[in-house]
Amino acid sequence: MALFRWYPIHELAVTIELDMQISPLALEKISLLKQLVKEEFSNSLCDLVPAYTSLTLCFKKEHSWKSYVHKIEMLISKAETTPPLIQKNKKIISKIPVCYELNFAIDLLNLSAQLKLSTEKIINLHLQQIYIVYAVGFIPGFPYMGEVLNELNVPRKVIPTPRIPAGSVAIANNQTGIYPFEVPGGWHVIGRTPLSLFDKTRDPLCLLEPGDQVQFFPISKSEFENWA
Amino acid sequence: MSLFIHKPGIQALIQDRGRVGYRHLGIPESGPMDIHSFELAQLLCGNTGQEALVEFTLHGAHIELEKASVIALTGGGATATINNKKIDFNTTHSVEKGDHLKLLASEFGCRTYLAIQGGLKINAELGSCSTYTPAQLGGIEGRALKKGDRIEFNTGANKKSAINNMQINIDNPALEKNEIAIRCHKGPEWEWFDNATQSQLVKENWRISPQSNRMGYQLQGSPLLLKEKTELISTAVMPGIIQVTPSGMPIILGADAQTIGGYPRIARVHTPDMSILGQCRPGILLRFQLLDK
Repeated sequence: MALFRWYPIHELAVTIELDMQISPLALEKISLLKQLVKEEFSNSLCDLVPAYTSLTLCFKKEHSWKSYVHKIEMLISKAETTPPLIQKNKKIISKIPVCYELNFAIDLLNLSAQLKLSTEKIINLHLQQIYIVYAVGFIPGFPYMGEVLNELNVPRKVIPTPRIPAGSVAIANNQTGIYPFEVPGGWHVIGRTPLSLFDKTRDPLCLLEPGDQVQFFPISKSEFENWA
Repeated sequence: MSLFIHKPGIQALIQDRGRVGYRHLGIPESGPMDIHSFELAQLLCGNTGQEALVEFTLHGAHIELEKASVIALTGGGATATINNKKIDFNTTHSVEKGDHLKLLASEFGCRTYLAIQGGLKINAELGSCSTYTPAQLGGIEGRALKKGDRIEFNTGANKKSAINNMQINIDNPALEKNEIAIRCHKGPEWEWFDNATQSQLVKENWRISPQSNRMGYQLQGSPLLLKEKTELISTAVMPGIIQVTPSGMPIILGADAQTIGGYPRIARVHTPDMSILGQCRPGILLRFQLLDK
């Protein structure tokens, strides 16, 4: 049974994709694959981009993926037969403050109408889960987190919002994320965090990384404004 | 000494080859939208190609040179004057202290590259001087250039290393036409669209929307509809990928595009044609030519 397939997305990039839905098991399989790729392709890659169920190999300019087809296929069969790593050290849970007040939660009222749930119910459902960071991307430091409870599962907006404020906490499908900067975006904004998700002067640059666990907790508008 | 910005024009960004190796943190490479014109400007000035230069979008810039040097302008989107006298693109110019360079409106192209011998003195951030405004990385304070900016440039480079008295032109159709063909390959989600929609992608004349920028080219035409409503699990994307938004309108990702996306990827631009795209301004009509059978 083939778990993985691969395809080019660019002259210099190949994606290896897992035939699975978003799940902690998928995350483990992608981390295992990432480990194997790191061992096998040390010098020909300039970046390695994990996502929910995929890993993308970015080749250096002088290395076309075409000369690595055999190696990629070998690697896939190795990944398919290797049991997933056992997570030894349990990850700490990052606690992230979120202000859910309406002037920050710009899509909460619309969502309440769309989902036929009260705003309080939406907030409680969002606070109930501990989320796993599956990937960091889209823009610097944006954490793709899952999984949002089924009751909150809502497709992305058809027309993206032109300017989503920095720190906005948003949901779409079974995912939740935080916008580190003001950008256009298609997710539904239900709150805002005062934390900085990306800081070019900090090490590490990003607040969250794949594999991290996140729990949100509610704060008031005045707590938000006075957050150090 | 330095370049002094009297007016940045529509947009002026400091760029080098880009920021490689940070896509896993969500940081795009950035770098020039038209790499061929970027390389030519550097070559003409006798630079190595690693230096930082300025990418101007369209017209309106007014720059004063505060020291003698050698410069080259490449690309398009503007005509240029030094002290109100028209100058040629794609060749070197010796400039004197106090010379005024202006970029005026022109009919074709979108981005002009101004290289200076020795390159601009800019502190690299995460390995690159390229400006990426959303995260305020590179350039001056991570932003576009503005009136009153003064940018030091390196001196000491050998004047003879510049290619003098020679004009080297790049064949880029977007510098002379309003209807442009772009070659592309099938994307990973090509099969998510039925045959009629697939052929519509290549038959349609797509207009580049005014909302387009370095993150992406938004195209206008008849909507491309999926066979059935399917949500893609967000996955890596790269510049040149053509994704289809829920409204059916395609977006071609540019140098500052997101690193992960969740829209179906119907096709991807053949990489050498990205320089043609980088010179397409809003309003241009695009046609896609599919390279795969």
